[in-house]
Amino acid sequence: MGSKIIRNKKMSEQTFGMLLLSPTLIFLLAFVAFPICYSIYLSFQNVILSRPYSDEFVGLQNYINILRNPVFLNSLWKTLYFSVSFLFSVLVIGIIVALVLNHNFWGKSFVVTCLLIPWAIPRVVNGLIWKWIYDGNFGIFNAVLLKIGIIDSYKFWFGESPLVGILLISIAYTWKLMPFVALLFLAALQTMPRSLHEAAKVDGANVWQRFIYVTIPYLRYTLIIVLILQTTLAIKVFDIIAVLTRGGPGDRTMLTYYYVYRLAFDYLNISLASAGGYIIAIFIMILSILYYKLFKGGKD
Amino acid sequence: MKRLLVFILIVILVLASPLISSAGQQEKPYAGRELVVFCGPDGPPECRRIEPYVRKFEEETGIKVQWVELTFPDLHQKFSTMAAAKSSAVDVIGTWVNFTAEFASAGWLEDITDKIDEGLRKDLSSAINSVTYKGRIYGLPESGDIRLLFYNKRMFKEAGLDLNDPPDTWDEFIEAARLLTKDTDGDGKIDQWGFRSMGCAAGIPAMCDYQLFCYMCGLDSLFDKNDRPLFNSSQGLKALKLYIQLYDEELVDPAMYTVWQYLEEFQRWGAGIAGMAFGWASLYDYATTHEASKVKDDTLVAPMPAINRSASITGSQGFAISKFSKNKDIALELLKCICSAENTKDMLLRTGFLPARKSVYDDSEVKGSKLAMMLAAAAIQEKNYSNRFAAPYGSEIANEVLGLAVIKAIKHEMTPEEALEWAEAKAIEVIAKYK
Repeated sequence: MGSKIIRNKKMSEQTFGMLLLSPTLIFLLAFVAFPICYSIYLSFQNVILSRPYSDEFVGLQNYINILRNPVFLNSLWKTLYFSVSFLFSVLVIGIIVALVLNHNFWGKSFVVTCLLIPWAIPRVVNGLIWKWIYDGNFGIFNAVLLKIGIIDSYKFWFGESPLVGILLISIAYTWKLMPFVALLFLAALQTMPRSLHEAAKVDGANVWQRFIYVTIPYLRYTLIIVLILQTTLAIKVFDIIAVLTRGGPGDRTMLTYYYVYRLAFDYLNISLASAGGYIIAIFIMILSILYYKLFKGGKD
Repeated sequence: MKRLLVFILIVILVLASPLISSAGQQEKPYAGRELVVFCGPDGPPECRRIEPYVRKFEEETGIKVQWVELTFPDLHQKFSTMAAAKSSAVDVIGTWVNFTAEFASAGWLEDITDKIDEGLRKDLSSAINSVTYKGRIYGLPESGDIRLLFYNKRMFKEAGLDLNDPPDTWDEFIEAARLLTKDTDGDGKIDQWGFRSMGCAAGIPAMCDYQLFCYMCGLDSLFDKNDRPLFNSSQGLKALKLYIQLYDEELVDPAMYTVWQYLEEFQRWGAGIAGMAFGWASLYDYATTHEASKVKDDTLVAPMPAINRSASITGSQGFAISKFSKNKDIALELLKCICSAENTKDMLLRTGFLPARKSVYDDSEVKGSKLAMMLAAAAIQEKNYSNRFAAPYGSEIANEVLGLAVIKAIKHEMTPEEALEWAEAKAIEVIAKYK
């Protein structure tokens, strides 16, 4: 009789727990699970919103069509170029800033506060700031380059080669996201035992060797997290493209995520956009797995 | 007793006050009803184009108008998603030729062809094209616009060009552009250019410019009535080569690679960088009156020069009624109000946007206004123009096919022949999706 009472009490606690979780579960089902399942379904249909009669099953045709679309293919290369340049700059600058902030110096709190400003600025505002900086008529970027003699007249930079345009977007994005990366590395550095560096010093390692053979391996797991997060952010870059260039001139700065948005909301081709979105998602998943396998290394 | 009587009187007055106030409102025919309007950018706060007439409409009719101002891309997205869900949340939307074609073919706009009386229909200018698709009318225009040749008086004088004889052939035009392109401050770098137009910052403006050149070369339409491409022809090729020539000879304001929003275009002309422009007629008011314009006294305007013929394209805007609106009757009243002769005349005099009504051109106040030169040029040009390209697939053709091909040809990533061949093949593919 006693054990039966205890069993009933347990079930009722489980039921109560489920009841408490149910609002979150309903929310997740409605706003996460259902959209994912429905968009996968749409990617196998032919749905153009302005063609209500067009809905039909087409199998993998959307995936094939988008992989044959020259604008999409070009955008993949440009996204790769953007991601590499962004990742390189954000990691290098982030680590350097973290190493500097890992030491105590006068005004450190003020520097950390200033460091957070770009991160705190909304993304659209960040895009507008850089739009003015790069402006061909009166942007400060042109003014500085003219002053130091790199250019001989103001330029409309996004009208130059696509690579220049993408590099400039990458600079603006790095400025925005570097503080977060620096803070992640700083947090990891501050848990690092000083004894590791001292032992390496005793063994005769110089500053550079200590950095390569002691600091970087210690930061390995932080590096994996940063790489996965920042790669995802790089591939999914949207707001800065929308504000700065809208993918133009022509398709010169058309990156993949923005192009998928354009397919969905300018051309109303929901199915093709869904297929494009899932290709990006699969690509990000593969990269994340690769990063983890490459960087997790052996035992600590 | 006295206090009781006063109390009863106050209660009666309080209970009767709604009746008293609504008695005034019952003179207003549609009091208590509401309309939701999505419109494009309506201009700066100190010079709103349409909103003053909407507020006047509210006062006269008692209808409450919720005026939602959006950029055109946002308007497109919001309305598309609402219409796909058959929502009645919006009654009226701002539109132009491409939107009308796309939304009308999707069955999202109310056909009001039979609700417009003959008198109004005859008085509407070429601006009616903004709300027309396959011969049916889906709204009413709010203003018209047409491309004209703008030229800078000071620069023409300095270059020794005749102010009273602006270029009217291609040879005269290109020669003038060459003379106007120069280094004005002696530092060895070009800082004044002969020409600017909508440019190649995106597919839509590039295609608009190319379309204009095609018409000037004698090509009546980019596609035939069965949606077959016509631009891959001798006239289309000539148009593209002449357009590219301007870039190759560096006669073109370099901002054309990055600027294409109409306000930025206006500002660029107002900065006095270019000697000539194929600008919208509405640029004239900005150029000659805006405080930021440096060319107030230097802006002149004339009809477009001819290649095979002098031709232009229209760029009007209007308002259309949603098919799912529950207030179509009062929505039509709003459209008629905005499009009235009185309001379109007032808009012309205040903002420089061409009137949607032909009768306004004959008004003596308009004829004697500061806009007389622009109106005279527009009146001549209206006899020889073509409608801006409009189709349900218009945006995709501009951004991914023809507009993109033009940009690639300008940048020498393709030859003109390759660009048009490629664009023709791609256009057929894109159009097939919409059949």
